[in-house]
Amino acid sequence: MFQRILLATDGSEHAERAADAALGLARELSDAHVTLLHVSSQAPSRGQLLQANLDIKSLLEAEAHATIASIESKFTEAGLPYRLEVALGDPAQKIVEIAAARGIDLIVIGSRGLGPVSAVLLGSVSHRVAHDAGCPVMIVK
Amino acid sequence: MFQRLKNTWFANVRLDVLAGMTVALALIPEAIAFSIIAGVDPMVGLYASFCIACTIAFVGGRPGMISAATGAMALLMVTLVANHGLEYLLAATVLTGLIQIGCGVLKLGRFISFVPHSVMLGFVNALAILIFMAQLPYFVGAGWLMYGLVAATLAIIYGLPRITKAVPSALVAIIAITALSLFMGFNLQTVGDMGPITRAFPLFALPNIEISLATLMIILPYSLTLALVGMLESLLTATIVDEMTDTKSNKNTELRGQGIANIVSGFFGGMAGCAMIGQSVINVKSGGTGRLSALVAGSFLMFLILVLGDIVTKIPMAALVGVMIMVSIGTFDWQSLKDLRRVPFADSLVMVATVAVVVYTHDLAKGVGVGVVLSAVIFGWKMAKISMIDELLASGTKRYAVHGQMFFATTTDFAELFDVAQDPESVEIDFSASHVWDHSAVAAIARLMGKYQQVGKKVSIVGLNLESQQIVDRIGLGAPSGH
Repeated sequence: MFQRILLATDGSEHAERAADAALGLARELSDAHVTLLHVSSQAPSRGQLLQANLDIKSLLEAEAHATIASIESKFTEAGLPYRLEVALGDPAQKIVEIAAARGIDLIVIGSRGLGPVSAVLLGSVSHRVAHDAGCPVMIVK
Repeated sequence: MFQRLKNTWFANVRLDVLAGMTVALALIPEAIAFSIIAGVDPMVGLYASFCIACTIAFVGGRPGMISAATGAMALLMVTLVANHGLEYLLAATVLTGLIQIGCGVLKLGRFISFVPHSVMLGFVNALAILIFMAQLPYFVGAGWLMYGLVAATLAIIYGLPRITKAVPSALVAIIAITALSLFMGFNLQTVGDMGPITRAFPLFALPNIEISLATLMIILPYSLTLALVGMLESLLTATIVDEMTDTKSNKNTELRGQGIANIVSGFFGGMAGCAMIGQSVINVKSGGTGRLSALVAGSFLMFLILVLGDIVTKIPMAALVGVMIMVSIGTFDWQSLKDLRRVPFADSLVMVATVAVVVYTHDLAKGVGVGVVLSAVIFGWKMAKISMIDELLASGTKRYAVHGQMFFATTTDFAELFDVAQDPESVEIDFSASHVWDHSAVAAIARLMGKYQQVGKKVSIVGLNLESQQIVDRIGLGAPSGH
């Protein structure tokens, strides 16, 4: 049922818990495949872009590897193959877009520990994903 | 055709309009502030932003990207405006556009990478420092009120996004500080003191200059640097927007479009501009991905000036100075400071030298010039090192392994590294860690082989890579044996 799982992660504590959940789920389901998604919300600096010869993907991938290294190693240790995707932009919007484009069956995402006031003002990424996504979303507390 | 028109213009009307309006609000304070940096009336920057944003909507190659008057370009014009006045700036703007169209048509965009990275970095950092320094005169002789209001502006700009990102914080800061100063009746320097805000559409006019070679020689250096910086910024911004929207763009069409937009701007009393990284990111994040967003940004900006022109003149300079300090902090590449120790010393040297020259001379072009020359010299010096590792093989043959580039600068050193008299009967020269670049190099090898042959020793050449072999074959070693 959940063959293609998208784990949206920003390397935070909540994302670590979401990673554990996705890992457990993928183990249970025999033919599940996990895609790790890291969205950078800040564009790389001019200097970084120039040094990378305008290859922005490589910069985003380097940033992703740096922030979610522990999650990547979790998957490697468990012997579960995964694919890494990177994107630049508004995290919630990008997660929903990529999930739709790749035909994802389930999005796994960590909840963010915001108080009631800042959650309303800032809008939580997981809430927006849950609201906008076209597939089931698992928010890990 | 119709379908394509629909896709690039009307695929995303609601979000494009909303994003465009958000961008317009963020553009106004910057357009005014950049005009003041360049030393022209606020209307010059506002007309430029209006003309460029609207024109690029039609002729640009990267839908969703926002172009307008920018700080980078404004700084390049300072001395031109100070020495020759506004009309020369308008002419230089038109010429900038012509150069950019030329570059777009000839597909020269990719040659931007010929400027070394450390020079670019130095340029960007120098730009940030200059924008910051341009704000300092406003503090001279100013009372605590000025300092307080600038601090308040910065507090709102950096504090507000922690609460909400729905409205541009710079705009909120400007509105709040303006309201406060009107309410309290502060007697402060305002935008109105910098020049009039005309509540009218820009009019077409030819720049009022004498058309002569002398005029051309005055504006050409400025136009060339403006064109180059505009292309660089536009290329960087287009790359970021491409990634954010997961779409590709035509960089050469974009360059041509930037050129057309600058020509329009120059003829309608505006200064040269280029793509804006910050505003484009705001636009895309607000959902603006189509051509319509840039058109709305430009026209809504004009609409606001027509309606709110009088209020704009009441904005205290303190608020604008705060915005400019934010722009300079955002422009400076802080990562490059962290990288200073990591990157090779020569690169750091070039970066720091570029910054130093710009800050000292207040001339970005001079800094870039010094940086490029310095990079070239350092590169040449690195390349002009050649070394040799020799060993005696079991067969009695002596093998020389050449390390380094073979070209005109290294041929003298190359010849001196061989000991023709003492060497055994058979010598092998290994070029696998080298590259033969030019005629001088081939000639030097031929001369060396000639020397060995004169004393009756046999020389063989091995390990030439394909390109080196080709140049050697074409020119020929001119020696009867050796192959």
